[in-house]
Amino acid sequence: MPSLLHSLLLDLKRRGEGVLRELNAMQSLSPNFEAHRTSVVSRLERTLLVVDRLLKDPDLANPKLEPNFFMDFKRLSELVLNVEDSSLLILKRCSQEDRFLSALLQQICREVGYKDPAPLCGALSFQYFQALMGMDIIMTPQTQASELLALPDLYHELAHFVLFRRRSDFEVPLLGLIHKFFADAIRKGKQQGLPKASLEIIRDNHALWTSSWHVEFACDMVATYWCGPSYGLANLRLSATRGDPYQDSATHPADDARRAGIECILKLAGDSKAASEIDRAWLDLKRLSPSVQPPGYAKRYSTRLLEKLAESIYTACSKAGFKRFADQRTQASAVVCRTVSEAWDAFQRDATTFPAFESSAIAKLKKQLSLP
Amino acid sequence: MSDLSIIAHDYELNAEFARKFNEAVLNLKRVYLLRRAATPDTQANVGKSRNDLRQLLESLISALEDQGKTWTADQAQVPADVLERLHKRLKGELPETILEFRRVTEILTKGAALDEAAFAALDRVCEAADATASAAFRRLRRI
Repeated sequence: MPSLLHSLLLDLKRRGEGVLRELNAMQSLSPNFEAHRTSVVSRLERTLLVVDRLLKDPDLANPKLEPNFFMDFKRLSELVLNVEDSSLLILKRCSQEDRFLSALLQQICREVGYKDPAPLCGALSFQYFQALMGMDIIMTPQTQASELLALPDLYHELAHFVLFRRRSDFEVPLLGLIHKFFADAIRKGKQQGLPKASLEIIRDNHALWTSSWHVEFACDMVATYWCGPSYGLANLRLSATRGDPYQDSATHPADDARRAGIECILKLAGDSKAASEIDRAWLDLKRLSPSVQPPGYAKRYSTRLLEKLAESIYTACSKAGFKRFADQRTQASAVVCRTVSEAWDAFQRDATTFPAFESSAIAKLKKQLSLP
Repeated sequence: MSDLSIIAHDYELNAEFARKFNEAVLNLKRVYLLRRAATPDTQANVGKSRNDLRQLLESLISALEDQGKTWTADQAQVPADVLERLHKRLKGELPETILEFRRVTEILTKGAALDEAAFAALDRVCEAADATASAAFRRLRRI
């Protein structure tokens, strides 16, 4: 009787072949969708070859190796499910909105100096913007193709790919700075005779910063490097819909702290005026909100640490050959960068007439990107 | 921007670590536990697997021992989630486990054969890495 693992692998092979058949049946896709399809097909074919090899492995049922083969099975199965859930979904739909957003993202990649192939973009998210790095896909809200003010968030999602793929240049130096900062804080705390509970709070903050927060701060900073003040304004707009700007979670730092990180990059880019203007808008937002800074907030989000991270990210962006917002703005070809910036100017000037501006700007962008 | 981007980031890091560690362990188990004769092709694989495992174990030891010591970039090879899971699983037996990891690292450095005890230690890492990757995948798909 064949082993359970053998049967599971046969089932995985069947499922993978089913997805592959659907991918191979697709025709007349636009060039960037076709490029994504080709790449996924080849990845899936390689995966199925590995499954075949495992099925033929004479040691598959050996008790000493079987648990390790089962682990292999899980990674392969996860890949097939990811292809089905993301690539197949977007490729099968390939709507006008998805094509526009993908062309827009491709153009953004050209403008900012992102050298890898542009991820595919689909307006299929039910959870705001999402970057699926392993699948080379970004999901946006479903109405994103007809709106400009949240477009800076697309730069943030693209930055997730940078953080992941250029980890040693972008993420690892940040981890070094954060670990040193908190190690120093603990050392000083011990010297000052801080109670155990206070040291524990420092350790908890350390863990939050190194588990996920540094990635979010870094993506904000890269997005600001690329997109300039518009990113800070989009962050404020998003925060206004989320409520308490001092609220944080295990995955995301507080919106107000993110504002501070964004402003650090604006200042490094020589745009202190924009940083002050965003700051003023934030004061206005805080005036409307009943929220107050919780105790320990200033220590949790040290300005000194944010400044150090911003310096590190700014240097990494520069070394990677990325183009700053100020450099893109002067280039006639940087149509998305300019449109986003003009959209925010228009919105701040007069929110009543903004919808007309937005429709016309999107129509112009489509024309510039040669889309219907 | 949403939690999913962070979870996707974690999943990719955890899955890659789990895949790489497990692949190296599988290759070496064939040679040292099942005594499969190495062909010229598999010999290169064995060398690479020994080297990969040695590097990953050194990073892991350094990360597990990080109690107030200076953090080094090398420790970033081990995803934070895997480290956290190992810390929880090894609670109470961390010093002995680190000693065992050191012994395995020495065997790998010397080019000597790995024994059953070495594979038992390596499998603990495989299991923790696999559980971490699976947990991240479930969070990603919300299942």
